[in-house]
Amino acid sequence: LRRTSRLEAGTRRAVPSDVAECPEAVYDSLAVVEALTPTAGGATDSEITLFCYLSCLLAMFSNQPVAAWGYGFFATKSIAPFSESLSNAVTDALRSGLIIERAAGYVLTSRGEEEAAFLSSLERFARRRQYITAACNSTLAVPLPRVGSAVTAEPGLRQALALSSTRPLLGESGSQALHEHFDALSEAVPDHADLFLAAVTWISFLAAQIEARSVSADLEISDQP
Amino acid sequence: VKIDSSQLYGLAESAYILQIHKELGSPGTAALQGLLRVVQSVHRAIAVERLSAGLLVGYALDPDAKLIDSQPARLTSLENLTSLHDGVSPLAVQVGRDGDIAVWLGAHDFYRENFLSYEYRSPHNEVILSPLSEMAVPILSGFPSFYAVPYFRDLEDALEHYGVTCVRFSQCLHLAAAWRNPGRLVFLPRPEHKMRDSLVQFLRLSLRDFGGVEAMPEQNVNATRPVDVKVSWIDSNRVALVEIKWLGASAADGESRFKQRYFVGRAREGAEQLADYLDLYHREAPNQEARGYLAIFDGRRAGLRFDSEGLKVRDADYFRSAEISYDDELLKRPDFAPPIRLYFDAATA
Repeated sequence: LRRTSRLEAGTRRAVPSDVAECPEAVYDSLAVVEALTPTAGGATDSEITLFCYLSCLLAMFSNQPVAAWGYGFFATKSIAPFSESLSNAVTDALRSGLIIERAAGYVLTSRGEEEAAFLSSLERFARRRQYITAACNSTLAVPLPRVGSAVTAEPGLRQALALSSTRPLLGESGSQALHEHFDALSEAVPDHADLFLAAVTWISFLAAQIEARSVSADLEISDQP
Repeated sequence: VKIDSSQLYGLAESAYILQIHKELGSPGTAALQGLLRVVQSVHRAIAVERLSAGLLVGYALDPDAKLIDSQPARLTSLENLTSLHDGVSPLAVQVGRDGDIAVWLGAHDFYRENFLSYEYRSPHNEVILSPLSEMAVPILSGFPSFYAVPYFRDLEDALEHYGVTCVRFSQCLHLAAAWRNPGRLVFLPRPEHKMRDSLVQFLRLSLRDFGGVEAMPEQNVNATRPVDVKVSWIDSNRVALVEIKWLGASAADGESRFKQRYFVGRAREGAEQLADYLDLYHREAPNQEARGYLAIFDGRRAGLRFDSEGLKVRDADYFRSAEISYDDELLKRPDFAPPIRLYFDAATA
């Protein structure tokens, strides 16, 4: 009980002090590593960021303000999405022995499992748990690399990657195009349906768009003399 | 670009997960996630090739659903299926909501009313079964099962696995369509397009690390010199250039002569070409760490005539172990990965 109240007051240091700078990033990174391990044997740095980004998008789809997510995402000239908070959380989780790196990516240590279970029990993270679960469970119905490439076709990220410049992603409330996607998705999936359904439907749609673009590019190449 | 909401709506309507939600509501969606988790675990435990007699997996829809008590083996972990399955019998697995696992070797039918089930019938033929309906699972042309896609972080590991699982028996639909006859002796003309499409799709679905691993067909090193596949990692400056060459013979249906025949010299030409591409790429993109990969799709057969319907086993297999030597200077280049030979077995009668 004492642990809980100290964390919720924002002062708990179950992990090294710099990790706890953003408890949401700590929780999210451990939760993604735990969720992807059965499917992929672990999670890589970029997968942690990617699935946290998708989780944030699902929170926005559920009408949660992006400002409440706890940390931001950026596009840089070479990486998108990128989150310094997540990057720090992973580095420090490694240093403090909560995760270790295996050939297939990071996995939780037994101490990491305890920490993840403890954080999961906290009310503070209850809401975001459903977004992370839906994002990671999408790999049950869509091959993991396809989820990754599909998310890069999300309107905001797609634009950022095309511009190849450093800029914040998602902004105050995301782009107009993103909200058009959310509106269409709301019509396509029933009200009160599990977020897993929305996540898989949207990812499948984005993946189909990528597929269509690459087929069209192939046809253009084939038409060349 | 405006979203095509009708496309999204149509895609959702045709997907089995929405059908299950409509039929069973949220408990059905939750059970589906449990079922798919079990299905992936079974596929991890047993290679698809060992499931040729079929696989049936049932997942209890409610806590009261009873597992069928007809002398199953009881397991505590799905990993134990690897040693339990004989690779010949049909396999049936039933999982209760409390995690109980019952396994049968031999044909088995579940009562469908209390279970959500999955059935693997044959390559590219899988269904989800609810108490009321049967729903087709999407097809991935390079993989016999949608739920048995292996993931790789390393391109060389992925290429090696691709050779064994997709190329050897032409199990990918693209590659199956590259042959003129079922015996896999002679290609149809220009099989390189199907080989490229097959490899690109395999890499797109199995190479990990974000969406940043892109396998793009026909990237141009410059306007006049195309390389077949380019793989880039968005979180680093690494780039892989993959040059594809095929060996063997091609002929059009109805033609009475070979259109093209390529032997070992073709592979060596490919190596020279790739080295040239790499030199060019390093000049044009000096900040990228480019590495070249030569993928040789090898369908050579000995004693082949354009009208051969079959070959003696000795001739059909003659090149199976015939590795190709390359210029040592090329192989010493730090940016030149060891060429990989992807050998096609001829079909046996």
